[in-house]
Amino acid sequence: MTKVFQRLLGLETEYAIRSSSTVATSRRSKFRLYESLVAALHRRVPTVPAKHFKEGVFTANGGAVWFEAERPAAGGGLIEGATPECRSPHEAVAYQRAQDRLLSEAAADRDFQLIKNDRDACDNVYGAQENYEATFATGARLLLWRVGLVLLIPLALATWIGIGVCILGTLLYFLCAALAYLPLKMILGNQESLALMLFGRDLVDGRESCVHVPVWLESSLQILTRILTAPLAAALFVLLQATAFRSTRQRLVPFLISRPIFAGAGMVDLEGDFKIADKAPAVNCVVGYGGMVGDRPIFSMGHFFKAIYADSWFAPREYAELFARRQRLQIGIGDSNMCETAELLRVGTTLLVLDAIEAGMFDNPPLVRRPIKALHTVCDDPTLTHEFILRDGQAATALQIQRYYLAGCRAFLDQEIAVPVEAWEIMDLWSQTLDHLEQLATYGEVPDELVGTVDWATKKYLLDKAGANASWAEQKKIDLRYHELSDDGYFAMLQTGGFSTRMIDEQAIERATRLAPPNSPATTRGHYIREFAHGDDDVSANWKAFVIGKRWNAKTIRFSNYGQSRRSSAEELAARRARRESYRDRG
Amino acid sequence: MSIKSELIQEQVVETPQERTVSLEDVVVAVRQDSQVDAKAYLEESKVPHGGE
Repeated sequence: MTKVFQRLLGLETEYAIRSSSTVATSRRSKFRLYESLVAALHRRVPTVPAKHFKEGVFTANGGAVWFEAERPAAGGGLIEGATPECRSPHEAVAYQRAQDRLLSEAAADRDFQLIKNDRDACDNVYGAQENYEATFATGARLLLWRVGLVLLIPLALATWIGIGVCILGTLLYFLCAALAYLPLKMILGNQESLALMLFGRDLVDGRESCVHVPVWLESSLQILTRILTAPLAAALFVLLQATAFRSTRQRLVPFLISRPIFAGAGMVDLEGDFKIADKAPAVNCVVGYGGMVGDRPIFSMGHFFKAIYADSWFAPREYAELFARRQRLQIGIGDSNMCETAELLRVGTTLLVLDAIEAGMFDNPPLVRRPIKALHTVCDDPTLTHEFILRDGQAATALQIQRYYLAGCRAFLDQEIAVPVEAWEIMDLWSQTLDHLEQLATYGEVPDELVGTVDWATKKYLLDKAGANASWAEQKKIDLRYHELSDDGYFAMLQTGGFSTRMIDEQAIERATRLAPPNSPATTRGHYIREFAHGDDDVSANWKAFVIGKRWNAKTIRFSNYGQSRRSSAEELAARRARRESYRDRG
Repeated sequence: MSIKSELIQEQVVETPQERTVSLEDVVVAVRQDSQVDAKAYLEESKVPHGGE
């Protein structure tokens, strides 16, 4: 059985919401826009509510749409889409494009637009996450992780008690606020500002708007929660640093910090300088939780923390699943891509490198002395000529580091049996793209082949031609509107004009809007969603299970990570073709 | 006679696109649009507090 393209993977994308300044839309909160988008989405495809602490729905293709809000009461909020679990780069990108299409069409129905990028004009960062099933640890490290999980149980219990006290305290506050407000209302009359200050928008309006508490209480509770969870977070972080994907991380870092040369979306920073990546300049550590203490890591471990301090509260089984040898590796350094080539390469090359690493390759990678500084230098250098000093004293450019991984993946595939055709095609695309980037590095100009294939090069081309001598605001508009998912978006204009390379055919994208991928937990999820979405039963879904009914009468169907990928090798395809021809001849 | 038909797994195939306008036309359209209400566009697309 091949070791190539067998793991599950999924892509998460946060979309900025752009509503125009007209009166009708400006009064709508981000949550209301999310609600209206979901209503429009439900008209297009079956959806069911998510069984999760976050507001969201699951769709018939097995993916999910969330309202992602760090501070909803203070005006925050994004639409987040998550693809179903896929097993190949082509599949993942097809589902990503299907998601982009479904969400942008639903938003257009409601008169607003989505922007698929990673940073707004005020330098607020959001955007893309990649998730790959990978080996967490083996041997002594795995044992250490499991022992650590057992030892963390008392600390987790203490944290849950602390959060429980916090929740009770909040409820007690609302009771006291109500008792204080009623006599005040009789004396002062109906004072909306006082009511908002005491109770927040939801209670004042009498309907869900994701603003459950007033702004001052939201920020106080956030600080208090961080203090309460700090001991658990710190202990877990030490354990994760010591055990989580440790050898994979070390071998993957040089690849990831040089990957922006073909996967970066490019951006104009606040000083007007061009960077080849959007999110990566904000990355400030190799491993972190992702935003807890202002950390923006390459490898995000936040989902382990959430599993312990939140998910396990409702379902202790979630804690037990943390003991498994295979877990989710989340990479937070990537940009949201508009070019299909760049998106396919971002995912496809990472999958190949992961497969090669787990097969024992890259045991002597080109380690960089200060990876975060090196990453920022890659982002600052559209000439692609900067050389890094490696730990062994040699110098290498980002292009040379990528060629090292390309060669290693080729050697890995050469020794594998039944390699999927798709893997070789990713290799060819990777090699060709590096050749074109080499041209750019040599001649200093964006070659035509990169326009419509690599986002940062395409954006730079537009900025150089259309934004020369423009103000910062106009250049920034080119940067942002490049990513707008509407006919007026600048990438969309290039695509309509025939200047972007299409790698995923229309049929595959259309199918992906309606049907879940095969051989994946999403297959069962999608099946149940299609069966029950329009019925009378109370149903909900999450990544692990589908639930029919409520409370004691609820029936839970759990999804398994069943199946292996059935990607065809060249030999299998040739054999199928020969069988078809022989049936035809026998006719 | 029966002919077996099988769905061939998707392969990575680059599909050439028909060019309907010139690249210069796209550049001109981008330039013109970017000069209209640029600051308003940036304001409308703000994401307070960022994301995950």
